[in-house]
Amino acid sequence: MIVDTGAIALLTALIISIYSSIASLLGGIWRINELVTSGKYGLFTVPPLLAIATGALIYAFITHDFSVKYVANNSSLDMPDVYTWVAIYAGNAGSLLFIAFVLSILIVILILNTSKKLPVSSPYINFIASIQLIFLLLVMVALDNPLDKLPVTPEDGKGINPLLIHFGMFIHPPTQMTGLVAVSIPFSIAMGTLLANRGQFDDWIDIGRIWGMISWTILTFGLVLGSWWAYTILGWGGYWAWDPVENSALMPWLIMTAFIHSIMVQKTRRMFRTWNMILIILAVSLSQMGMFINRGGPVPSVHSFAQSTMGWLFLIFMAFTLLSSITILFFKSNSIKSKNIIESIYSRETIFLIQNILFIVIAAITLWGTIYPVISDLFLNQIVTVGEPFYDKMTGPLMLLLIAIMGIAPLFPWKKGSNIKILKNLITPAIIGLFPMLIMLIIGFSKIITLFGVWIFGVAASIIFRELIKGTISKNKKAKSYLKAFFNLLSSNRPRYGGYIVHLSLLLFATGVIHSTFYSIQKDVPLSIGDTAKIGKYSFLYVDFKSNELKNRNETTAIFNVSKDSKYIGSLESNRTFFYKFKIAATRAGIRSVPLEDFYIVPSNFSENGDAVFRVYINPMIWIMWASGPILLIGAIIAIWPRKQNRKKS
Amino acid sequence: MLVNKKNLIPIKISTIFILICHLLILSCYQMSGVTDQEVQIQNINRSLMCPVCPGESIDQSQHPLAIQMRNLVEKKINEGWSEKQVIDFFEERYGPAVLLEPSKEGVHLIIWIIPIIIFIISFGALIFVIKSMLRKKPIIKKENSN
Repeated sequence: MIVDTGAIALLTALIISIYSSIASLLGGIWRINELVTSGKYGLFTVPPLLAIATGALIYAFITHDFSVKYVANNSSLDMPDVYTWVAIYAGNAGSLLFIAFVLSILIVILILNTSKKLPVSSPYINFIASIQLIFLLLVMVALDNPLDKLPVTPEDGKGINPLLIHFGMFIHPPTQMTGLVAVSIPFSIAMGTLLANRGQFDDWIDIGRIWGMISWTILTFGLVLGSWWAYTILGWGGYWAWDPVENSALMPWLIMTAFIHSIMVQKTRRMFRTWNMILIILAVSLSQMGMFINRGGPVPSVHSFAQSTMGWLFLIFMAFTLLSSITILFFKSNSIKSKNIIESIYSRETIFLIQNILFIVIAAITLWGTIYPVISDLFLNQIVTVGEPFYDKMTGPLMLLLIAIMGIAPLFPWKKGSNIKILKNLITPAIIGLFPMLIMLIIGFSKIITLFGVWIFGVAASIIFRELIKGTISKNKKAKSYLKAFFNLLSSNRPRYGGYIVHLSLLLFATGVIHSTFYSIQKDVPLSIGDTAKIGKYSFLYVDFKSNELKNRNETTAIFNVSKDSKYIGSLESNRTFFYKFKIAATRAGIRSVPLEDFYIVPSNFSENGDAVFRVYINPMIWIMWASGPILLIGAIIAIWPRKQNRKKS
Repeated sequence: MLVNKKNLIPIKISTIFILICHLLILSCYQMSGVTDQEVQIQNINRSLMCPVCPGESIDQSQHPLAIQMRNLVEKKINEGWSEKQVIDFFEERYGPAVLLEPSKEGVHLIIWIIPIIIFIISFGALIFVIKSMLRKKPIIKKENSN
């Protein structure tokens, strides 16, 4: 009964969305306010309706109603109720419902946000946004309804994929999905403005930038949480593997990063209008492609949780989005021509443009590597794999170049800069950056690439610090306290100084990446209880072994006493759980993490008496990588925070 | 923004900060106790795909086949095979899909060339755009953007 109500709510949501999109578009064209308002109110009713559908699904999970196909496929009687949250998006249909629900809420916020500020564009914005919602709802209702029933009710469900039963699963997938779908919002704002012929007024820039930043931040956290989860919980020892699904989440992130910079050019100089449109169109297409690859795309991946044949629909929808947006852009491009031009190569505009191109090139190379196996399979009839080494070699240097550009960008003023001035300002940071590099060289770090990287990070960090410190000192005269002066500085130009803080966190992150990539140590050691082994400064004693037979799984845990430089530093547990029904083993690493390095131990198969081969890593600077996350969040919030007082000024 | 005495204070502070950061980095470098041969085996393992586990190299995977392949790599290296010989051996056995890094010979060279072409075209276009925008300069009168 409740399930049926949910199904009806889902269908109603679809019908209302279709009505709202038509009403919004026609209301916009004919300028009938009542029609626009009715469309708006229609979209307001979608989140409650989808909440009913989601609630019905949750109810079916908790009551173990296996007559519902999705519940039977993604849960079992012995699944604890907390995992209902994970089960909701563990399969294709449920994750669609989740995405649609999130999108519908975002659309409501969007409407509240834009209907007063962008009165003319608002109907078109709502139209574009609702089309994306309709697509998701239509796929669900017509092809893969999470509330569909089975003809025969099974005794027990198939159960949830055990790899998903983990705390990490509570946050990484929803964040990632929210991030991907949130890209639709700045896209809707941009496209809606274009459709309304308001492109030349640049009135969407502030709202578009804020929504761009929001989706960028969520995407960033989706990626970081995924890496963190893979590293700490899955026991992969690494945090990024250039897996197709990882790539498909990275590509929209790359383009969004370009977008949130490039839009600053439009905000400040009323330029790059067409270019920003192209960027946001690319970003939304790539995020749709991300959903496609994640849903049974053509490339094998470790992420194929929500496998289905639905993927191709997303590809078709992506092609539709891309073609229709480009067509709109083509016909409206005259209306957004900018009179302003790049006045000098030595300007912030140029630097942003170079940065944009680099991001696009990295995204293009990633895309090429991701789809090449498909191309090779189709045209050459040969199955090949494109893995980590390709991406590392091809994109690594470009990323380093990006960081270098990120570092020197603050030296370039808007409009017109002088090359001599820029060079003069660069000399001191360049020398400062040399010091740490030289020290490393003297001590014996021989890998040129890390030395070079360290130099660049040093230069970039010193430029940012100089900007922050100089700004604080100049504000100090008025504020009379350095701390207050610093906060005044931050709020004087939030996008800029928030951006600097994000940049600093990225430098920390990059420091972690470059060191853990080039100085990580790995060793496989076979051990029996009572054995001691050594790696680097660490020695570890295999103290005890526990095996715990449960109904659906076998948990085995090894306990180690770890010493560093012959000093006892603590005990670590390293765990492996085997799930009988799924024939899947999930490992959990024992990690001792300090800012300088991680000691990381993960087991493979245990024999009955506890003998096992353990993989041990010493990964430098990983802690610093994760620590950069909160700093990034602080910077992003500063950059996102809208300032109302300043509206009058501009 | 010229360098003058006032600017020295922030520079000093940033220098100290960065130096501290890098000293921290330095102190984590150490003798590993992992032999060169082990590192070589790990590198080979990382460049071979586990044929039955989607998206994982034999270094990552815990699948019995991956473990078997790892042991085989170790055996071959101990027998004195070169890295290339071992990789060729696996390629012959499991086909080109077993290589994580596609071959740089023959048709698949294209995978390595296209990125370079993408890079050249993109930056060529960039230079062209910037140049043509700079050339427009005299036609357009100055406009206040603020």
